[in-house]
Amino acid sequence: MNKLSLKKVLAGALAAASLMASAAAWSGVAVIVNPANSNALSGADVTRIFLGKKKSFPDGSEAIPVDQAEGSATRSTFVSTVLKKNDQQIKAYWAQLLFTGKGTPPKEVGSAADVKKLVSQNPALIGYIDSSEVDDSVKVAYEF
Amino acid sequence: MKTKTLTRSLLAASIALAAAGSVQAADMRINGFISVVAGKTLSEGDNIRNSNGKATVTADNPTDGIYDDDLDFKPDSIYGLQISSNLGEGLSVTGQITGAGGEDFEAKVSWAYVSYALNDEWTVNAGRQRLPFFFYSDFLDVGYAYHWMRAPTETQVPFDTLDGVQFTWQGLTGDWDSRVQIYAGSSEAETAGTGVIGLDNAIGAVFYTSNDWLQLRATYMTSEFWGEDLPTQTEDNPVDVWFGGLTAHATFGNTFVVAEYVTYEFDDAIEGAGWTDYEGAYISLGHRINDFTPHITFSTYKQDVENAVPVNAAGTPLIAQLLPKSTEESEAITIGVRWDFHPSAAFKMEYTIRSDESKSDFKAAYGDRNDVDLISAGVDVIF
Repeated sequence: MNKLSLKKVLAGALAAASLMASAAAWSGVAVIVNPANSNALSGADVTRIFLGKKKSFPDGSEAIPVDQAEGSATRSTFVSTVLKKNDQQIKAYWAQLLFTGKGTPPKEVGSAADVKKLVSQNPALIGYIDSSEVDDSVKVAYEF
Repeated sequence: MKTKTLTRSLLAASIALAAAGSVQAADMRINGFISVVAGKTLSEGDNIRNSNGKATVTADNPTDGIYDDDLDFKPDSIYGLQISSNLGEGLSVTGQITGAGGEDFEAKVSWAYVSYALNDEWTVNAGRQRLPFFFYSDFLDVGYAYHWMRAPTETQVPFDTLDGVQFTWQGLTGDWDSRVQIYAGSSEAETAGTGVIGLDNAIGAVFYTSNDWLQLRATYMTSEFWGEDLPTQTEDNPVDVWFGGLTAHATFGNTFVVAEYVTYEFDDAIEGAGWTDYEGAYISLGHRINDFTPHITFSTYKQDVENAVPVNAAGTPLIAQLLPKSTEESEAITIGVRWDFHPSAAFKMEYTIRSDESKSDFKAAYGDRNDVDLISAGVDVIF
């Protein structure tokens, strides 16, 4: 009986700790790549890849950025903190490139889970998710 | 139970495959834009060329979109449909069909080119593409991409497409993202009163660099100009022309300022119209407050003429009024607001006050045709 309670308390404490950990990580955005991708990326690399100014990773292999669906809070945070543009500015930016043949915006692939799944399957992809959603299937290439 | 699980994992696998496929496979993209704009002039000025004798405003130089004192939905309105396909390994094709109100929305091919990435930094485009004269010329038709109803017409010319080849280098220069475009080709245009005019053997370059708040651009082009209706300066006997432009665009948080200067110069005056040296410039300031971007723009142009012969509304040259040497000049202030009422659409309203600063002999011969105000409102949508 006592042991059981102890177990329960421990489990509760663990749960609370992990909750706190994820709460603490809530504001962070993790840029993720496939675990097989060994490139070290700088913040500028990430920005340039997501603005279509760079089409490859530092080792020369192809880099394909993927976006979360429009309206995602993580996407807004990523656009404002990493790309340093507001939602309207990024839309106008891509309209300028798209209709001049200079580039196409990253493909929208859906939720954080969708991004994670695709990145875990393809070494060319690079995406972003909330830091709390990172697991072993992907590698964090940069954290903001 | 087992069957169910198997079905589920098969389903999951096929979804994953489909999703992965949509990212990796050669994919086709269809995008479009529409601008629907209404406007009218509130004018005092005279223009001897117009049948009612009143001053007008050319909203879209390449398509004859001209506002007069009747409310008009056409001059600034335009639609466009772009299809591009990425064939993989650096090869892509792009086609764009546009129809402008100034040409009764008649569909024309504005873009049709093949693009090949030679490596990570060099790309070559061959075919019909945009002639990169001005900072805004690449996306002039896409109203959504800028704050105005229309980019200042003082820095525009009738030519907008290039049939030719263009090499683009894009890369880092220190902390700056830079782009160099080198192009060669020709262009043709047709505007009211000029017949078909053309640029042959055009060779030009664009230098562009940007960091996270500043964009700088410089451009230069040389070419040969001709007009089918000109007495001698026809395609077989063109006149040399060069063109240059400088632009700076700065963003400070929610405030931005953009300024551009362009100039072109003909070796010999164009017969009849008399055009020789041209200078145009603007400076524009905007500030974004939530979904609203109020802005103010000062714009001006100056055109020197030599042996200019005014033409009346009936098309008759008024030889007796020949101007051996004169200057047409205009100054304008535009105030407006852009309202981003939807993620893919913007509503805009604008008022332009333009005044004629031409030399008195020019005004006497042609009318004070730049004394004109313009009010316009409309929506820009991208899809």
